Amino acid sequence: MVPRQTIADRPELSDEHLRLIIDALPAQIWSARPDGSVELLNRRLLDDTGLSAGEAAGRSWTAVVHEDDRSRLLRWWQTVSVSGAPGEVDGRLSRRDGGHGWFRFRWVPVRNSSGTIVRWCGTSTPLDHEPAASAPPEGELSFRLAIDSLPGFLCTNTADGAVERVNERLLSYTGRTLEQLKDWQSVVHPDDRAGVAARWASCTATGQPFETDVRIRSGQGVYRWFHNRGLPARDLEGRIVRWYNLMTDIDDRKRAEDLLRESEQRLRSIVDSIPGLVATLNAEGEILSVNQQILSYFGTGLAELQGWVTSGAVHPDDVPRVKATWDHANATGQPWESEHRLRRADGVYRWFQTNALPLRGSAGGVVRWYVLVTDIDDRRKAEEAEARARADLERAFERLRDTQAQLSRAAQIATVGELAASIAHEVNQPLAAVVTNGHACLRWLSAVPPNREKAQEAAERIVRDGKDAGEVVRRIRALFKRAPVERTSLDVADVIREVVRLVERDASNKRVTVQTDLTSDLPSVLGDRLQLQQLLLNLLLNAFDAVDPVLDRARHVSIQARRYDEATAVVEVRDDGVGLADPEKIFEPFYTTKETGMGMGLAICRSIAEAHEGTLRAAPNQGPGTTFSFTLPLHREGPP
Amino acid sequence: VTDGRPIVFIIDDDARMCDALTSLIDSTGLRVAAFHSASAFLAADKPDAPACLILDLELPDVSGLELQRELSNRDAPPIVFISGHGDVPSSVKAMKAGAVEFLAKPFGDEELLRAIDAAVALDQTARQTRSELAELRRRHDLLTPREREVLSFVVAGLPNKQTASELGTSEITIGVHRGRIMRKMGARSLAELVRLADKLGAPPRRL
Repeated sequence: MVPRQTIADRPELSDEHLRLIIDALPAQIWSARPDGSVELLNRRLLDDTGLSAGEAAGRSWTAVVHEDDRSRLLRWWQTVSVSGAPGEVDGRLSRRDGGHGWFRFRWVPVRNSSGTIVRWCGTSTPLDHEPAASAPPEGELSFRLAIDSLPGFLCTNTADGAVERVNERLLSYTGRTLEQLKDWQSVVHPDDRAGVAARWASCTATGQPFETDVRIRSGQGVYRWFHNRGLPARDLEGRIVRWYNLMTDIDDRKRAEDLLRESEQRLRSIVDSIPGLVATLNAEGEILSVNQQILSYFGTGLAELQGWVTSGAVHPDDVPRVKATWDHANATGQPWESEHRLRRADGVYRWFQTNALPLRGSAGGVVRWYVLVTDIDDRRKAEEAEARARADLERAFERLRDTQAQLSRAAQIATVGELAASIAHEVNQPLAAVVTNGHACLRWLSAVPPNREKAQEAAERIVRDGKDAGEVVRRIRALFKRAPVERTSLDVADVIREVVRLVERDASNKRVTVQTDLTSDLPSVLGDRLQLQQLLLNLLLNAFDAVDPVLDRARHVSIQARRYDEATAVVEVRDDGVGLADPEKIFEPFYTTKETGMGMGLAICRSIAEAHEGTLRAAPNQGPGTTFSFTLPLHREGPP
Repeated sequence: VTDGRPIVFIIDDDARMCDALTSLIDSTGLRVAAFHSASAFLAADKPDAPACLILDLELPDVSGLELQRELSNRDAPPIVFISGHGDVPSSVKAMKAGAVEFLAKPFGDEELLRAIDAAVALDQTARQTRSELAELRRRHDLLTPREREVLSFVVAGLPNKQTASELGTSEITIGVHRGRIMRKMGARSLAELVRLADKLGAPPRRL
């Protein structure tokens, strides 16, 4: 014997073998189809009852019982077959000896893998005596037990649909009596009532199975969802004699479904309400689904959007880029993103940013692309505007820097120029008075008769104002000599570089090359930075003027700074210009070789050099041009 | 004060220049008065005579150009500017604002005296025009409201008959009005009356 093995586990057993076993079993064996028609009876059963196989085949198994038990057993069977639960019932069968005997029938359903009942198997066991008459009939008791232990509500209805009987569970759930439940609609949820009633009416009229989901109110006033399934029971002639309704509690499932649906809806509404376009694509780029925004934006259906890269949705200028991105993503399966313009329903292109994430199958290949397309048009335009504004600003700054450089240069030059102009004015005032007095004097003298008194007065004023003019010049000289000089320790190379920077533009305009030769170990000098710059600036601008007439060769100006002796540094400004006729005369006030000059520049320069305890000289070069050189005292560390 | 000889005003903050200019102008026989600032000039009593103003561009209180602007709305004498700086933009401004001449110091006596002569002549003409206009205004003020009304029709060239019908009166009455208007305005002919009304800016009646 092989323990714990069923016949199904013994494929070596043939059907014939099994048949022999079933026939030999010391029990009456039945097998019936789901509708109760006899499929098979074993030898023992046929022998005990005297039934023939042909007589029973195809008929309901209840048809072979004693005729007084038939309707009861049929009722029982209908209940059992609806509930699908194993059951037992007592009934009479004919005996071989010609009489009848009591038997106990036990039926169990056989289900296939999906749970559907494919057949019923039963046994019938002879009883020693008739079941007690005082007790409720065996069938009745069994029915009660069965229906009351069913995990659901059971309700039988008359052929015209009226409630006949219900099981205990339904009574206790609804908290009603059978009488009250005759008005079954009172426990049905108001929203379901009309629909269920109509359906029920239609089923009872046509005999179609009745199936519906319905909310039924409990005694506590709570509604729960039930799945109701009702089948009609027919008599031998096929007339409906009764309806059997089974109600299964599906509330938990239903709620779960509702939650699922709700969550799906929520998800859908989120997808439809996110401020972006959402789409799913398959690996080939075919669009599977899109949210409402995509449809509204493009103003088309899903079908028209297929082949979106080249179907006109993407701006023609962006197509190659988008295509390259997509091809790359397709080849690598990497997330991708792209910025491109998409054509709106009204023909306007707007900028979008597309982000796509892949969903991979179990084999690792991409099965879906989840694509989010965000409108960045405003941002993009703002960025462009900002970039333009920034570029404008940069240009403005550059202009400002230029202007500033020019201004500061102008201011530096103006210091000397203005000084000269104000000196000119100071001298000019008494000079103008002298001239006017001179004219007046002449007029008084040439009057008829001459007015000697007035002429003399005028002449006296000429002398007075002439002295004034001289005084002005003397005062200016004194001013320069006594000008307070703020002397600090200076890096002379630094001072030179600053001035050269100031005249760079001027130099390039005038096509002058400025060369600096600054000894690196030049010690610090003592001086006033601004005044030294004025001095240098003046010498440089003079040098530019000196090389200006040069047309036949490059125009050169060079600046050299070096140590002269232990206590002195020397700075030389050398030009290869036209040269000077008289290198000393140029330092005299109001001496000028220029048409527009005041003739004060070099005089001031020399006074600056002298104020620094230095000298300013000019000397003709060996070749063309002049070299101006000035000396400055070195800054000595510690007390002198 | 009743001396009708032209007078030259000088405004220059430089005392030496004031002295020299005073002497030079004095030598030509013109009257002269010198001031060291614009405010001193404005505050001074000035004789009722043809005049010109020699104005230094650089003054300590109000600049020459500002004073010129301030004087432009009054019946001020024509201006000859003098300046120690040969400042081109200022000279352009000054000339545009109606200066007679702009002289850079130092200048020759001939230049200055020519400019003074021209300025004084301008002022004489202006004064003449002003006094004629004042006289006309005085005469116009003598007209009654009705006579001014009739004058507007006459100036518009309407014959008496039509004027009478416009004003709802007789032709004879208009003739009488017209005679009075001619007398009061000192006009010897209709043409002269129209010219005088034009000078006054009295508007012709719009028809």
